[in-house]
Amino acid sequence: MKELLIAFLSKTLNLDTESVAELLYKKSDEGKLTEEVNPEALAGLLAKDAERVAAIKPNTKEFFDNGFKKAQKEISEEWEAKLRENFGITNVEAKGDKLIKLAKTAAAADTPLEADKVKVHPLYLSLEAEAAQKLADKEKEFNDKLAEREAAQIREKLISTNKERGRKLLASLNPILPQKQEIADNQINDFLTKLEGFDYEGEGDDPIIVKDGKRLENEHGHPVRLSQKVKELAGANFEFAVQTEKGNAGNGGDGSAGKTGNGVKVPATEEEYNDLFFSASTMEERESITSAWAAKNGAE
Amino acid sequence: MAAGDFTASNMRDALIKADNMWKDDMLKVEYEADVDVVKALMAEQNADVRVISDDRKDVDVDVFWVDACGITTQDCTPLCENDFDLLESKKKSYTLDLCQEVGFSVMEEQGRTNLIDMEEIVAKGILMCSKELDEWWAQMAVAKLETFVGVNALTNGRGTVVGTDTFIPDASWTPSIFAYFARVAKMNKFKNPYLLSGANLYELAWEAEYDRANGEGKGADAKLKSMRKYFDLLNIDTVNDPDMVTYLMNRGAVAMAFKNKHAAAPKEFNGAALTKSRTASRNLPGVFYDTTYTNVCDGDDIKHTWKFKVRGGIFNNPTGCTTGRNGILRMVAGDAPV
Repeated sequence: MKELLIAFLSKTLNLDTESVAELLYKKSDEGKLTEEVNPEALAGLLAKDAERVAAIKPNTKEFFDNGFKKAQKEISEEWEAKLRENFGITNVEAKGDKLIKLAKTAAAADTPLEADKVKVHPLYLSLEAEAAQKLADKEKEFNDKLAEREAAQIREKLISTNKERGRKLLASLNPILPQKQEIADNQINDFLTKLEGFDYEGEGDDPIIVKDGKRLENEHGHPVRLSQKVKELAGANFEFAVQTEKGNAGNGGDGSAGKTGNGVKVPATEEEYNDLFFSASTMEERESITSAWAAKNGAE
Repeated sequence: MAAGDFTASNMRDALIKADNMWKDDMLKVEYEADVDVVKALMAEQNADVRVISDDRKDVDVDVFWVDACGITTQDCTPLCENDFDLLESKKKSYTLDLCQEVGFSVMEEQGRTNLIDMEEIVAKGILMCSKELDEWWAQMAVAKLETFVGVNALTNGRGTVVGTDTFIPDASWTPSIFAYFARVAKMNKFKNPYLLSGANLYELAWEAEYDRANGEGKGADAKLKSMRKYFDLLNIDTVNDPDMVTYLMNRGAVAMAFKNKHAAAPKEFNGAALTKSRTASRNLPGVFYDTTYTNVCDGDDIKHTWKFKVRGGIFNNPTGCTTGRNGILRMVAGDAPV
């Protein structure tokens, strides 16, 4: 029995038999093992057993930590692979937070926004209103410019038309012009530029003159027309030739069948002015004669 | 005349004011005369009228009519015999038998205290007198036409000839009536015919003008334009009432003549206390009125008076190739009297 016990304890405590025997039996004074059981044998054996267990049991915290880390790594790698696969991330170096960021970006690109929700978002509403206002402002600006341009074109055309009318009216007054054609043309063109400062109103060949938005009126409050204005301006800028009385097949006036008008004469005296004026059969003739008389007196 | 008289300068200013009123469309409507018939006759007149200024006292004007009716055929003559009458204007002398006058007065005080001055009052008076005289002349013109009308030589057309009238049923006054008019003109030897009408053809012409853009309207427009037309909606129908009349006329069938005894510019006659001058008609180009101005003491004021007188005559071309064919035919809308 003693040998069995020692053998068992030796095996289990991983001690040699002598060490076991020393634990079990007292030693003599000579140091020899006796047959007497050591009263401390149990304590000694338990201590040795504790030693044995400690030698077997590793550092569990480190073991745990190592195992956890390993597991964590494996799990992470597994999820990272899934993330890459699902979000089409090809960058294999991207890991952890970087990989998550990439996945988020990919996810945001893929995920369709719900339109109805976007449309009521304050930022959307604000941007929409701003865009609409900008569009309206641009449209108004364009329309204003277009209207301005159209009005300018119409005015330009009216002025051009009425300058031509003015040219004909001036010619009918028979102004005395320089012999040289170029100088005569320049004088007439300079005169016609005076008509550019007016606007013109009304249908027909003799429109009403408008200045600064108001129609020009004579001392009677009657509107001034182009023909009157041309005559007024011409009287201050030209001397005039006078046409003699035109004939009419139905009127023998003073004994002639009808004179053709081809005279070039400004009344020299008031008596001559009266003769010509009262012999004139039309308003235009009277005005021409009066303009010539006024021009002559204005020049003296 | 002394200071205070309405001088030549005043009269000039009054006429200038009248001109300015005439240019005002609103005012012109009040003073513009309805004289379309006179304007038409003037446009179609080709006679040369000369006022007599020689010793002849019993006539006023010489009218030179173009006469092409002296030409007649004869048997053939040898090559070298070429002696024919001269084609010349036929001269006829006339006494002017139409004379009418109109006038107005203005008190000195009225011209002084009124808001508008004397010259403006006179200007309005001149315009009014011109209107009255010219409209009288237009009525005279229609009355004279009535005395000139001849007999229609075409008796088998759509019109029924009764004396100097040709009655055309109302339903026939369509664009195709111009075919009839052309035929009448030809048969009556109107070399250059035109129409002078009251309201008869007016609406037809108006519609044709606006319908000409349509496919169907072009024909009607062309028909109406095949002959010159003049309208006087006031005078022709008024004088001929109740008849609705269109005159078919030959150019040059009528001549009008006027004569003035006053010089144009104002001339004072102190002994007679009047001023004579001439004033041009507003509505009839080339027509002048002999104008007389006087002023007299009237109660406690001075009365200024102006008188305007028109003297003239309206004559029918006497050189019609056939007796009774005077170049004027009277077309009446309606059925011939039974």
